[in-house]
Amino acid sequence: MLKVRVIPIVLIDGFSVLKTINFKARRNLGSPITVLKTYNSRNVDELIILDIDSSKDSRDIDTFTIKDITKECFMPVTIGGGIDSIDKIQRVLEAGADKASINKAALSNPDFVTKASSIFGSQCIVISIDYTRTKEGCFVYDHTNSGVLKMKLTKWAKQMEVAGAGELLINSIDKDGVMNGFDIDAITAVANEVNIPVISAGGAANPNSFVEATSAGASAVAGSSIFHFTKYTPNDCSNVLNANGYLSRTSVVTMIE
Amino acid sequence: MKIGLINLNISNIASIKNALDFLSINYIVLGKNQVFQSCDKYILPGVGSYDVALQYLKQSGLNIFLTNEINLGKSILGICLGMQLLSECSSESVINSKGLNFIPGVVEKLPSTVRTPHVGWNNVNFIKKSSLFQQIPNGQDFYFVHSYHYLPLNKENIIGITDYGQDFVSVINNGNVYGVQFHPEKSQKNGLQLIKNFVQLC
Repeated sequence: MLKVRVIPIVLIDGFSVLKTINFKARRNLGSPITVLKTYNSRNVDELIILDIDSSKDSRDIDTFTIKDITKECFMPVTIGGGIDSIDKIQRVLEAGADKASINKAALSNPDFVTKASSIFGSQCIVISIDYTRTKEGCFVYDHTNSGVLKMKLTKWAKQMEVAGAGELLINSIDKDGVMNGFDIDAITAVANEVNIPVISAGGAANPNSFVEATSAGASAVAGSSIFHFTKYTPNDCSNVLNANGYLSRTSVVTMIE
Repeated sequence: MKIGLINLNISNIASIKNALDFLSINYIVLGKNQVFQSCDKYILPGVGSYDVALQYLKQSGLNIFLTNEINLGKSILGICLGMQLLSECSSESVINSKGLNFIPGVVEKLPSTVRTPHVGWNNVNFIKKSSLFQQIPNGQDFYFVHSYHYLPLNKENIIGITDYGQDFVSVINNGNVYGVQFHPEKSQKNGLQLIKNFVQLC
């Protein structure tokens, strides 16, 4: 049976690992290589690395760091951050990433998703969607200009599925960094809307959060603050998932010989 | 021992290169060159589209080269789309592409009753013994990411199956031709062991 994936997200800002709260306040956490090598040695299911200022700064992707990270990473790595051209996807994949995460570029031009998916295969294309909850429901949020869009989360999710997304990574800005649980209703709504895997992010507080997200329909559950700032490891989350009837991969840490 | 790593120009071979480097396995990349160096064994990785991959294999002459090498008894391991290319045809094809046909069978889309693509760790259950799985226990998880699956014509070619909604074939073998639907280069310890086994034993 397919296992639920527990995925650490590492946010980088050019050279440092950092963490945000509600996409605003930032805390610097050191070198990406150290953080990522720790996850790698823990045999985590998968990794997501997002360079969160690439779009805003129009900075080019850092293929050196990607190569460094992925060289001895024998599980899938998704890279995101300012990926807005076929050429950038190509370079990210050539540098060792397995999937490219696209956010802003999809909002600017949905056809880019279709093109990317037809060239690289939908398996390589993760569409990242930031959202916020208002009185009227969940809407897409554009982090490059801090704007709430008029587009409903579920509508955009569906549009991206049709455009060729392989997976969706949905991030709640309201829940980001506060470690108070996921937006369960949002996960449920998106999981019911599409037939592609949904990865939920934003709000993981403890291993039970992962159970809640999974029962809401997430195929994979991602966390960032929880793994940086609490005692919980991805393996702890997998263990609790298993204890609650959701198959997840646990590992006794073994060195790859 | 020299492995010929096929580069289809659309797929990411960085991951498989990293795995081979880590395992200190000697390899050369075969792709854009017109004169192909003969190797001891071949790995055919693949991510992307059946049609685009086959077109590249045909235009580059790699399909003929590989067919000759297989007939000479050299072993080949197809990974993911690479495994699917070993088939006769695929419903993914929009131009009726003919596959390499090294292992008779067709490729179909996964049923719509399950989320597609099939992404993540899932376990492989052995139907037959294979040197590919030396030192790898039955029922281990490997990383899958695919929307299509292989239906071999002959049941004897089925080595391993995986459950996703229903059972599908995840490992195939016909003589010196092997195919795995999952990504061993992304499946940590067991995946690396499988690559090692292919190089040393198959």
